[in-house]
Amino acid sequence: MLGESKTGKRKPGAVEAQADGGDPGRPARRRRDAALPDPLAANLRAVFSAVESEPVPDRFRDLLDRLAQEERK
Amino acid sequence: MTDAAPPFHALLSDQLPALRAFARTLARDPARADDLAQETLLKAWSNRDRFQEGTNLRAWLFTILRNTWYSEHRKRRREVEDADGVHAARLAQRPVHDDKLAFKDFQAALAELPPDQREALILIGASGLSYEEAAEVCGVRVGTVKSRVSRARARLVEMLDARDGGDLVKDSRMDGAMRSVIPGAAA
Repeated sequence: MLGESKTGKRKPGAVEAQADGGDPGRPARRRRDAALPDPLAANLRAVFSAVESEPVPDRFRDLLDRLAQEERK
Repeated sequence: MTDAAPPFHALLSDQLPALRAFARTLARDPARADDLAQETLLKAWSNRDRFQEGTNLRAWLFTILRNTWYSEHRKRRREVEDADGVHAARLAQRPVHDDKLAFKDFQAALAELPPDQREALILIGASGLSYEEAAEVCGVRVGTVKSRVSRARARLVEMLDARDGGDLVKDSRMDGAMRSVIPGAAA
């Protein structure tokens, strides 16, 4: 079947094929990045996680501390 | 006996890294992106009563951030898109010597995409949202998000392919990956 290896493990992008011709008793899995080739998706996640992994600037720590104090009132 | 819900400020704190990353997608300047993220946190705090517990907080925050950005952007109109492909041409001239340079080129190419395509690509490809959630964030239909992702992907490949002298598309791994997601796609 298109997009399916011998082990039955589905490759990215095979969601549509599974939905059309797969086992009707088995719910189709939703791959959120199924529309994107692997190298592209990997680079996108790297771009995103590069910012996610930055140290949180003080301005945000201070703001969240103020919100925490406000919430405790 | 029910568990107490985490305090809202703690929920915001958990989402802050992703919020900053999405802000950087829209406002490429890091300082401006952090201003945007901070404004989003304040708006979310002021409107926390409107957030429905159990729904996707990240999507809710991204929606606030996006609406704030586009509202400011309409006022500023300072974004310059590389419509003439000047930057893309510059990419084509640079030789690739190592992965760092290639990654920087990828970041540069991503930055050259139109904002709606860039955000769709990041929302779907990096931030963990589904197509349905991304469509809600952007205020469009799922089909529109898919269309933007498709166009963004094609444009990125085109820009990066130009840099690599045509080797990117000819790379069997990329070619195979593209075929697996686009039935009938030509090499």
